Amino acid sequence: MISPKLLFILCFAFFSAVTAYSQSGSVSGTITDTSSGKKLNNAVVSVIRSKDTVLSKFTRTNEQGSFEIKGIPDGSYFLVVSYPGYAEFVDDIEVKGATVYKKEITIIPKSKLLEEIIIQQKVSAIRIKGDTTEYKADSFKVGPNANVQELLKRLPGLQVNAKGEITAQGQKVEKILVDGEEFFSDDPAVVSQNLRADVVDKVQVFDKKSEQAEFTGVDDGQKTKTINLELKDDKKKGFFGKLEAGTDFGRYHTAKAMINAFKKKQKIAAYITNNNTTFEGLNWNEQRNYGSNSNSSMEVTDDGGMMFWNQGDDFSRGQGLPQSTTAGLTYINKWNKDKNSINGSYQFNDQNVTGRNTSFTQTILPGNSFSNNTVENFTNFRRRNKLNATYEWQIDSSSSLKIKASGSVVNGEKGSEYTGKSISEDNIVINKIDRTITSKTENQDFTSEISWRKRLNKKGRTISYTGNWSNNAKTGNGFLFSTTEFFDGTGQPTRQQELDQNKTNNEHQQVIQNSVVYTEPLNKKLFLELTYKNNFNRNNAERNTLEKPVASVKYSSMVDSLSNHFLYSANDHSGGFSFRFTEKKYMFSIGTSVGRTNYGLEEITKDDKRNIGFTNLLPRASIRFTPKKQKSFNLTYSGSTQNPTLQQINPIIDNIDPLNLTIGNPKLKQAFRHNFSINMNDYKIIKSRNFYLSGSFSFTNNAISSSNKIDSGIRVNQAVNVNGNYNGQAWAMYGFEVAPSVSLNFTSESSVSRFVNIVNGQKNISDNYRIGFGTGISKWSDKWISFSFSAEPAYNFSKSSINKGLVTKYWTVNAYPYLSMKFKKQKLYFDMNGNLNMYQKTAAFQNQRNVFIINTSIKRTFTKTDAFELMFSVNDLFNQNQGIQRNISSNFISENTFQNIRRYALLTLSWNFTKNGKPSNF
Amino acid sequence: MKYIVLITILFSLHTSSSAQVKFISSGHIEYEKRVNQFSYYDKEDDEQPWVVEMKKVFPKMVTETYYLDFNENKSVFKLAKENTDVKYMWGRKPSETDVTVKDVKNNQISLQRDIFEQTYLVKDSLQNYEWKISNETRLIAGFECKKAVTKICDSVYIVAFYTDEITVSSGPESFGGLPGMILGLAVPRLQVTWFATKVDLKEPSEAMLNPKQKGKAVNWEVYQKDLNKAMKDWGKYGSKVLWNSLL
Repeated sequence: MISPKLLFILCFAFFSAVTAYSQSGSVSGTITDTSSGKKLNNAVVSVIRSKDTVLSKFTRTNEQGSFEIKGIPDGSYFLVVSYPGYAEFVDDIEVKGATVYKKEITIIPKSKLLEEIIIQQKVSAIRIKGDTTEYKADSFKVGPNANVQELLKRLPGLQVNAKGEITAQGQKVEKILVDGEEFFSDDPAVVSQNLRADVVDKVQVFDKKSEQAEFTGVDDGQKTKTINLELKDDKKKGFFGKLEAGTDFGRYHTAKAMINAFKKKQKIAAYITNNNTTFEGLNWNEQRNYGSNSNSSMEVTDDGGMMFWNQGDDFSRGQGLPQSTTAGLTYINKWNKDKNSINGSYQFNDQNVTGRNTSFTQTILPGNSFSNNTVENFTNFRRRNKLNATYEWQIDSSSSLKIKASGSVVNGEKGSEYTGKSISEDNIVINKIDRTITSKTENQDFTSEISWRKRLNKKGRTISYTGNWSNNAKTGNGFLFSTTEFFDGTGQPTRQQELDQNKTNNEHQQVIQNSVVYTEPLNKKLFLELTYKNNFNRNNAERNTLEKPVASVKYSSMVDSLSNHFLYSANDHSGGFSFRFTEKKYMFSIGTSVGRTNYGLEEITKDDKRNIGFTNLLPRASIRFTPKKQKSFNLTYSGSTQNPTLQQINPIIDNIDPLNLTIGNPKLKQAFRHNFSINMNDYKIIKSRNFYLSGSFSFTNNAISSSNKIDSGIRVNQAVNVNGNYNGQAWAMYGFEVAPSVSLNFTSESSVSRFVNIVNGQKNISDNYRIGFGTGISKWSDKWISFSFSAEPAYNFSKSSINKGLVTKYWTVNAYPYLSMKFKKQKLYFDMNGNLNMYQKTAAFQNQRNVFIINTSIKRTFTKTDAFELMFSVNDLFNQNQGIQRNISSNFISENTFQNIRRYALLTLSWNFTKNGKPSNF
Repeated sequence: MKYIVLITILFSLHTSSSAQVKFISSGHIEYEKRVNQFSYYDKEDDEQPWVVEMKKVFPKMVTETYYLDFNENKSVFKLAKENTDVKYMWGRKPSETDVTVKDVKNNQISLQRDIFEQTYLVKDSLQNYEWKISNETRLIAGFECKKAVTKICDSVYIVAFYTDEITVSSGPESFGGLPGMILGLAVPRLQVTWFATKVDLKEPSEAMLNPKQKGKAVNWEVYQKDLNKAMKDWGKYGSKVLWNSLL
């Protein structure tokens, strides 16, 4: 690839190429028609350089048939005279210094000339396969930069005339295909002139049946002489892969083996990994080259926008210290000009995580605040077997079909030990808890989706259908052991609660969803979209809690208050319409959908049935204004009803955490949420400047919030309707180039929210504000150095009406340094990236949890093709990695910290092997 | 193919009366421009999921009509009308306001072109292309055209078919400098072609030949420097954008 700078110089040099001359030749004369003796006006007289046929000068004859060309630099030339319908006149001229030619030229009307084509027979290079004649291109010598036309001229049985028309076996060739597909022009002359001969492997000549005949299988006798050029494609068959192993000669290790083999459009990829340094087996790039990509989806919208989303895999992240083994096998094939494709994959994950989480919660009560500290130690084992399959069929140019199916079985075993203590404001212990939870689970899941789209005859008229069916079965068996001690106001123990229970869980859920969308153009600018959707959900859930009767070792007596068997159903139908009006620079849309949801709950053990129905309304409107390219302004409104869940109306009593209990609220009403958002962007490519702004504000009527009653450290939660909840946020960024490839940007973010809840019967309003400013500088380059640094300080403020004395204010700073250096000559590569988080100390958060994570690596490649790599890397250089989650909402303030992998150094050796292929960088 | 009756008549007329060839020095040409939108993505990108998806949504070939109005001294090249039936990929939509005025008499070009957000007005002398003349011919819109090849940016070949029956040395975009009018033009690297479908003898009005132009006034050198600067980190895609902007 030519560097841009060089490219510029070349372009410029080319454009400014002006021939300089001091002494020069000239030629003049007249042009006469031999047959009539008339002088010809407007005949073109050209002076063409002999060595490269470059046009040097030209002129036209005047009414007297005479011409004059001056200023011809030294050299030898062809003097060419042309006149429509006349044979071209060509003469040689030599110019040296001030040579003067005078020419009296007569030209003759064009007579037919037969061009002779000399055919060199090379029989061994020709094969006849059925009705196809195949030529091996390499057997026919052509010049180094020759085009396909020159190659075709050499092939026996093929003729190319001066117009570029090709005749094969006496018939005119109508079509040239390249690798079976039409080139950018179906005109044989254009294809044959624009493709280099040396890229062609084989030339096949055959009679192509009409598409009708191909479709019906009935030969209608209509055939077109066709040439197919099979290109040499070294990449068509081959493989690439990687073997990698790393160790710190102690606790940590990684190992990976991956291969991707391909043959034409078929691809088989497989991998196996084992490590105790990360949750995921493959990184982003490896996932794309060797994995199945079954978690990521991509859609290109009609207006050219691209949407990419990764559903995420809960096996690829988490908190704690993992030990993981993953394996996968993927098969991809495409056929029928890529109109049909299939992607099938198998994935295996085996993960063992141990860890330690701590949580600190502060509960703010009028004159009665308390805090809780809990430590959890856990081990979590999970194993998953998963199959995915996707089939896509581009039925014709207007319709497509896609079928997806996925099935998985996850087996898990988890054990957690909690020790916790609640203390009052005066540092007096309120309660102490010790809890052990173990469980064994199995989750079988199957999902499928079918989607069909069709564009109808009229432009803009489309119909699409999407159907989903999923089936999920979960079983679980576990134990709860807990001891809770309660204390009175002076710190004296009052009572002790002991639990020793067996918990079983059996759930079976089925969901069916259908949706149909139809769009109709009412006129060129106005479109109507109609939608219908339904959704049927059935869930059969049985949970039992068993205890040991006195003097028994078996868990045989059912705890009725903690056992239940529900049949849950939700049926939903909705229909909607929207109008879209598009003008050159504007787009408006407005519409709504209306629906009905019915929930049913049958409690089998109690023979209790309950039904509740809600009417849903989802209005929406938007305006888009695009005054210029890459500049747009959007304003949208959407409203939505939010239904209470049956869990909120009538919850399943659960005592898994005896200090947090939930009860139902049968009076709960539907909430309605209004949401406004604004979006602006102005992206200047030529000026390398960009500006983005986005903001949103939403408020909710009858918002579903919570009411807490707190007694002796036990929290009882109930869902209630409140008014006054809102939240809003705004974000803006301005970036520009300060030096070549170096850009500077400024960002600002702010948010505001109000949350209302009820604490011990009293209304509590919590307000949160956050404002932050950031700045960053970055340079991304293929050259030796790339870097970026950004820092985002933010100020957080929160207060709660129930406890006016307690206001939380603190600063946080997040900073992200990155540096990459490449020394290609020395084959050395250095990388460093970091994530620095600083939190200010507050009254609630006693410890200032500053976490500086720096990861760094140095790598050297070996051999000519860089097939081997030796890398030394250090993860978490300062040994500070720790997950932190802070939450300030209503009258709770919480901080959770999670144990994560900390500092380790790793020496990794990897081997990249390849034949005719290489992994792509996505 | 829209071979227009007028041209056929004209053509047969001149071939029958051998010495009395009617040369054209003013008129109106309609070109059909055909572009392969996918040519901006390399073969090695073909397997990328976003390229695969994009190819399903966008048409490969897009066609537009361009007009060239000309007299002995001047030619004006512009898009006939925005094609609303076509879905263009990002950055590929042709601009309705782009207009190229070539003053062949005074050797001047005035080219108004939208490149992303910027409207440029390039005022400079006409480009000096080194045309290689070949003796291949081709019939375009009823005219016998000769083939000539040049290149820009050292490696991007431009194939032109010109007719000497039209005496004005011009053609699509900024191209010209041949002993006649370019009726066919192909840029294989960018997979784009312009072919005349119709030649009208309608003489353009003064107003048509003097369109109002605006934009950031630059010369070729500044124009190229600007684009190079903007495209320097865009890799192969950037080179193609650059070449397309320099046509």
